[in-house]
Amino acid sequence: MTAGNRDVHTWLTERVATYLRRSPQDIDTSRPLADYGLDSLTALAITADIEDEFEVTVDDALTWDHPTVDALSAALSGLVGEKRV
Amino acid sequence: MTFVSDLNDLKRSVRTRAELDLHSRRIASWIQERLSPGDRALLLYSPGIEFATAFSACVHAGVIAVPAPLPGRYRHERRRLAAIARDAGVRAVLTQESDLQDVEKWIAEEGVVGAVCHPTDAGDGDPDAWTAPEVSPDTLALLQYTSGSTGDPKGVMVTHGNLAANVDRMAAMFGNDSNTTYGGWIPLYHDMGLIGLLLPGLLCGSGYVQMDPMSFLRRPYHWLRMLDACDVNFTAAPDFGYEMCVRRVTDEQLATLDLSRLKAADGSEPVRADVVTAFTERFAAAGLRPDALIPVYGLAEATLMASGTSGRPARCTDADAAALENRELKPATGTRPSRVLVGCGAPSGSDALIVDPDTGDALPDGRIGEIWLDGPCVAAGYWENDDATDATFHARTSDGRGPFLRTGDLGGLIDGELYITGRRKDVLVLHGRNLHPADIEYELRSQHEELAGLHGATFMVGHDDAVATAPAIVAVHEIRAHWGAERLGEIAVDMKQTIAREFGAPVAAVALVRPAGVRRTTSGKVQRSAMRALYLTGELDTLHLAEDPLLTAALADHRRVTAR
Repeated sequence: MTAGNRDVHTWLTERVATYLRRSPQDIDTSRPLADYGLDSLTALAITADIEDEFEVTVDDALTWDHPTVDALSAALSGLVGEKRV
Repeated sequence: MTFVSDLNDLKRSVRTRAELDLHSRRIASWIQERLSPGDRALLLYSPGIEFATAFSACVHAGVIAVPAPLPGRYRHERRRLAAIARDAGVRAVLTQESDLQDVEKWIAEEGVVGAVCHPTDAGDGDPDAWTAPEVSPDTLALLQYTSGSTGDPKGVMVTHGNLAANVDRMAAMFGNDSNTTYGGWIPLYHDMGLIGLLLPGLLCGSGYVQMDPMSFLRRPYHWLRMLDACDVNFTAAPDFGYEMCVRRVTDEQLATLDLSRLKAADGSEPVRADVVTAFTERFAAAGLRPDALIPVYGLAEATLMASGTSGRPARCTDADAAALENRELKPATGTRPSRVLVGCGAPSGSDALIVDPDTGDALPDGRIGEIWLDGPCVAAGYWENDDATDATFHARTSDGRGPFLRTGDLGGLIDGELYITGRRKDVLVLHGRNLHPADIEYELRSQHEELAGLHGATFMVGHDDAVATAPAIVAVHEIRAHWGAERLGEIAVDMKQTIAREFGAPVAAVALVRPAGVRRTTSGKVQRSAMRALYLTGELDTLHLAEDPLLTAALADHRRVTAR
């Protein structure tokens, strides 16, 4: 599976919501994920899903360096864009 | 033994018994030239085949092994490791070439002195120069530093006799024999990995297969695939490992698995009935037997396993919630509120006695008290800490029986089955790790200047308090009131971020209270269980409460039930 034209932000919000046991509309994408109970296991699960979905390699610290869905999806769009070039 | 380095194409490195023996003697002779029997060596290794070799070399050299995680990237982890090195008075830091740079950097930064740092895979040492040390069952083999906070690390002294007894009893309990292959992802500095899987695999089984814990945490399917592909018959993990498999292994992945040859121990944190049921049901489709998942109870102070079972499905008992509050284990009847408890089998690693922790009176079946243990698996005490050893290992009942090990865990027996109902101690058990509230509170104050000089209390919700939420941390901390609502909200979010990032733990709530709002004893000790009780009943007076809505809902239910 590749990113294609799929909206990174929407995909990420859905994944995050599933892991944090709530629905996507309950996630405020400008709030730190730690506010929703993000822990190191969930952070790793999200990075693994990102790698599988977009076929990129990301650092384990990605979700901590970019702590909100907005920041994470901006960083990710950059990565995916780089790969396409 | 085998290390599976790539789970996609199952790439493996293998070390045969003959190779393990040769390298152990080689490294042991290097150690013997520099250290004396009874000296301590710190073992710092990334996952791979070298750790097991170095551990075996320490045994061959008569040196006490001190396994610990690599320094890591966070300050509190590096500080804790330095505190362990100092407490144990290590004379050598053993590592491997690929980790050497990180280890040397940590040694320099933390000012660890008096220890020679050596990569054991560099080839130094002459296997023929090795001489066998004198070893008796009372000789120390290992210091296990899972207890104690950073400021007060405690190394459990595990003897050769302890290890042999516990490994034998586990094999007998689980029905394992010389054809059993052991394996898993639990790190080898964790007693469940070292004593529960590696040692029985090498000493009385047909081998041990290891994978990188990170590989499991990223993709839980890889664990199950490794077990199947490498014909592993016995594995072990904390409860959250099984939950991760239930939540994250897809139907497609499940269809590739044959788990019919597997037994799996579930322990080192509270075993949840819903996880046991969900895992057993979900993986039945892959051939998992209904009795494959084995709830166990254990602790480093009793070497590892204290109770377990096999050959029958886990026993889940619906216990009367009101009786539990009165420290009684009674099956629930009718529509009264209840809580499902998972039996952790019969006391088999050690003999167990249930004791009233306040009076020291032994209690009959059906009553809840502190679990006290006795027998050949009880460790020799804490390294160079007579006060803590006396308090924990030399307990006597009110009628003079003893000495017993005080576990700090609360539980009771029904029909010979041990049920764990809670903990007396403040330590937080999460994802199989012990976290110390004092360490978390210290880190919060050092990273958030608004909290400096004030007090905090951290505790867990969702484990054994009948609050229906995923286990998570609640941090209560004092703050001066002049910060205004908006700023308090920001501080609370930042505090959650600090705890989650530095300790890897989920945070369900941060409650900011006025100075002197955290209760303390006259000697100044923070009363965390009192703060927890205030929080659970909703009586805590807060300046700002940042609470996960999921927890808010669970607490509302909880308060309704307990108010009845």
